[in-house]
Amino acid sequence: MSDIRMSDKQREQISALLDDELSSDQAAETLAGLREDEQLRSAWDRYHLIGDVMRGERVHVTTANVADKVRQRLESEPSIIAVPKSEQAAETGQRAPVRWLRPAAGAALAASVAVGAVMVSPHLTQISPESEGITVATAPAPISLPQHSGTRWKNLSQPEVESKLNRYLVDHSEYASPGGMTGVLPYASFVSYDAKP
Amino acid sequence: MHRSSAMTPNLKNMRFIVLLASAVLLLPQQLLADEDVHHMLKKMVQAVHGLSYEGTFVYLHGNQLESMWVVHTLKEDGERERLISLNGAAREVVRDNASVTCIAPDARSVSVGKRILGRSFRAVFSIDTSQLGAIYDFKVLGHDRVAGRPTKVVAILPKDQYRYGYRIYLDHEHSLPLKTDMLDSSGEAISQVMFTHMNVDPHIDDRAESTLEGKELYRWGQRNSTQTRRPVEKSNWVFKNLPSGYSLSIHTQRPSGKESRGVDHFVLSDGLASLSVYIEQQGEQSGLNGSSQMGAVNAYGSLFQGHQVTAVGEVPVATVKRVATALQRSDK
Repeated sequence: MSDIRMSDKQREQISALLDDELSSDQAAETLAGLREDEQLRSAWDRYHLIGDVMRGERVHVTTANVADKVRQRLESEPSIIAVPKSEQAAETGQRAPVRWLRPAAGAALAASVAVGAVMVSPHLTQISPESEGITVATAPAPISLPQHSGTRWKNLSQPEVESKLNRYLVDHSEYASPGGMTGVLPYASFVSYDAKP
Repeated sequence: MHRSSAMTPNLKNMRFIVLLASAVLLLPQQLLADEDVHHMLKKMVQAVHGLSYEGTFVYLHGNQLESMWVVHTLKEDGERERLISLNGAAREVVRDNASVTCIAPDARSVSVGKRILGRSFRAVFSIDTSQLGAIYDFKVLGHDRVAGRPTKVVAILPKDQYRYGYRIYLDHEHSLPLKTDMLDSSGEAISQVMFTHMNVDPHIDDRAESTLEGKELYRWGQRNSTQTRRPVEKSNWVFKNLPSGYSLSIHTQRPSGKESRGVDHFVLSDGLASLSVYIEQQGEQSGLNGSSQMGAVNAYGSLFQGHQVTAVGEVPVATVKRVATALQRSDK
């Protein structure tokens, strides 16, 4: 209803922004509009939450509304993913809980900027594995969509080192398939992670 | 009454005999079963490369969950495999006998690398697990059900901290690994791959074009790192004091070009686990210093005599570190 009044031009701009078809000036303008205009923002939210949110994730600006909706969705679809024990131990052990997520997110941001994408996300919220029951629903802080681009090499903040490691890894994978022992996995690392050339 | 009391000693005898027989049979059977693991793993490798199948699997590593689709075909012109991410950007890897194509829609890049010519990596790593008894234990764990199919479960357990182990759920009918858990030396799962659906069919066709929209927008690149590879006979580098079982599998070199520095690439393997060590002259571009990790992959980098040394592989952090520091200049 609200976007009946929204101009076609604005809608086009949002759509173009989603498709990363705007120049950086236009993108900045549209983003500024988003910040100020609630209608635009809700349209933006909706565009995002339509099924292909993830596919076009070149531009990924998150507003509080998106975070709210994600949280609502998580509440209605509680899902608990088993975390291997060693990982829990690592998180509760000497390493600060999910400490690596933050530097990694920073690195991903830097890397994404390098390829011309914009990524703004609220802070990743720790979904503590040792919490009781379905904690996802009661987490007080906003929950972001996990970032799909960017690498997740731990302890790294230099994009060029990351992309070098990625190159090494893809290269290594060529030799590292011991006859299917890990089967498709060498390349799974590429498919699931960043592998900018 | 009379009859039953007369039967009792007979029954007891029978039970005793059955007990004795099973006790006698149990031991060799157990041994046989463990011996069987090698045969089962061999069949698995043949199945993975020799069958045409497609399936969907989930991949859990750390707290990261991914879902992927794999299509593997064996036709007259050889093997071909497509691996497509079902989450996020639809990244895809297609590999056949000649090339590896990596498609990353999010980065709008397609890179094509040539396979190493004349040097089948499968020959390098054709595993004969029965030779690995000194560094791994092999066990049959039992039966389970995965993707709606009955499986036999086998385990490969490392004897030290320098390698990961596996728990593999092998399909009864086709010997394909329907679930593969990678285990650390304490037996905890580091990563898990589990098929939720698997279809074995010799007529599977994967020739359909990749679902690339706006192909002209993509950057098509040739990965030159594999272009001019050649195996090296004589090396300036040597590894001393490697973790037990590990040895050099292959050493290739990329000569330095206009834009790129020369890189020495060593692949080391214990027969099952493998890692790569890359050595290049220290440049203005910084390299990895210390250790890093991504999923089950560990990396360790350091500077050594004016060279950047980086070890990377699906092995424990202790291994990349020890191998990277085992590097020395050879005397000649």
